[in-house]
Amino acid sequence: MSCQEITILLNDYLDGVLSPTQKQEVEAHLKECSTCQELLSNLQQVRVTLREFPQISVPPSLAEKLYQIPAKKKAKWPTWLGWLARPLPQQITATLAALSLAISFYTLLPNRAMLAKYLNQQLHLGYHHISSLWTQAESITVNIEKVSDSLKAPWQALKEEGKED
Amino acid sequence: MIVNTYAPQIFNLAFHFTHSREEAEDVTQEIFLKLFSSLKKYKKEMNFTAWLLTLARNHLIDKYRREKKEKSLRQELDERVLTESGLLSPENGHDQKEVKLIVWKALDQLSTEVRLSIVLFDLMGKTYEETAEILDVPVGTIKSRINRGRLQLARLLADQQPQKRRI
Ligand SMILES: [Zn+2]
Ligand SMILES: [Zn+2]
Repeated sequence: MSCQEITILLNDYLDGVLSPTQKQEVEAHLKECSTCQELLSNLQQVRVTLREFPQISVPPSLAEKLYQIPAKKKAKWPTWLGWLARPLPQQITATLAALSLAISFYTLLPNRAMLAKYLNQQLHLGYHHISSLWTQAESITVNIEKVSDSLKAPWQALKEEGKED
Repeated sequence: MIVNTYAPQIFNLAFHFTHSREEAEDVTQEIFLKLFSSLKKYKKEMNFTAWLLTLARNHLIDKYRREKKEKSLRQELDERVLTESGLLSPENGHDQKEVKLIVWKALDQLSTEVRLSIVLFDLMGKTYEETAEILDVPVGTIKSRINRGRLQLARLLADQQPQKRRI
C-alpha cells in the first residue's frame, strides 16, 4: 500500500478497529516508512492533546446575563422548562403512566392552564419525559369523539384536583 | 437550570468557532436569546442537546457568513484562556505545553466544518452519532472529517516541531 493509503487508516489503526489483514499491512508499511511512522507519532500526540483540552469556564458576568434572558422571555415559554436540567429522579417511570393519561385528557379537553398547573406540580419528574409528553400534546390533535369514554372519568377527577389549589 | 447545563457547551463551541473570548460571550448571548424564542419549534422526538447545539452551530455559521469576518480576526489566540484553564500550568512539561499550544493554534487552520466536528467529538466528548446529529450530516461524513482533521493537525504539529522528530 502507498503512504496515502496507509495514512487514511492510521486513526482506525490507533482505534484498533482495522481488520487483521489491514493491521498487518499498516504495520509492515510502518516498519519500512519513517514518514508514516512520524505521522503516526504526531497523530497520537494530537489525539491525546485534543482529549486533554479543558472546557473553558463560562465567565460569571456572562452567566449573569444569560440568567436574565429567561426572565425577559418568560411569557413565551412554559415555566417547567426552567427545570430542564434537573436530574431525573428514580420514580419517573411510576408517575409516567399518570402523566400520559393526563396528556390524553389534555388533547381531549384542552384546558391548557389546568394541565400546565398539573405538569408544574410534576416538575420533579424530570424534564425529558415531561417535555416529550408536552410536545406530544402539542402535536397530536385528537378528536373528542375518537377518545374512549373511559378516559373521561379520570379527567374529571384530575379537574377536581386542580380546583383544590 | 438550562443556563448552567448548556451555557458551557455553547460557550466552548462559540469560543472554538470565534477564538475570541469577547466574541464568544456575545455569540453565546445571541444563541440563548434565539433558544428561548425557538423553544416552540422543539419537538419531542429530537434530542434536546443536539437540537440546541445545532441551533448554535447554525447561528455561528450564519453570523460568520453574514459578517464575512476576516480570518485573521479569528486566529487571534487568547493565551489568557489557556493559562486560566490550566493548559499551560507549570506541571505540564515544557514539551507537552508546546504541543498543546501548537495543536490549539492549529485548530484554527481547519475548515469550519472540520473544526466543529473535532471540537464536538474530541474536545466535548460527543459520540459520532451525536456529532452527526448536531451538524446534520451522515455519520460517515463526520468520521471522515474527524479523520482528515486529526491528520491535518498531526501534519501541522510535525511542521512546528521537526527537530524533535528527527532524533
Ligand atoms: Zn509511508
Ligand atoms: Zn479552538
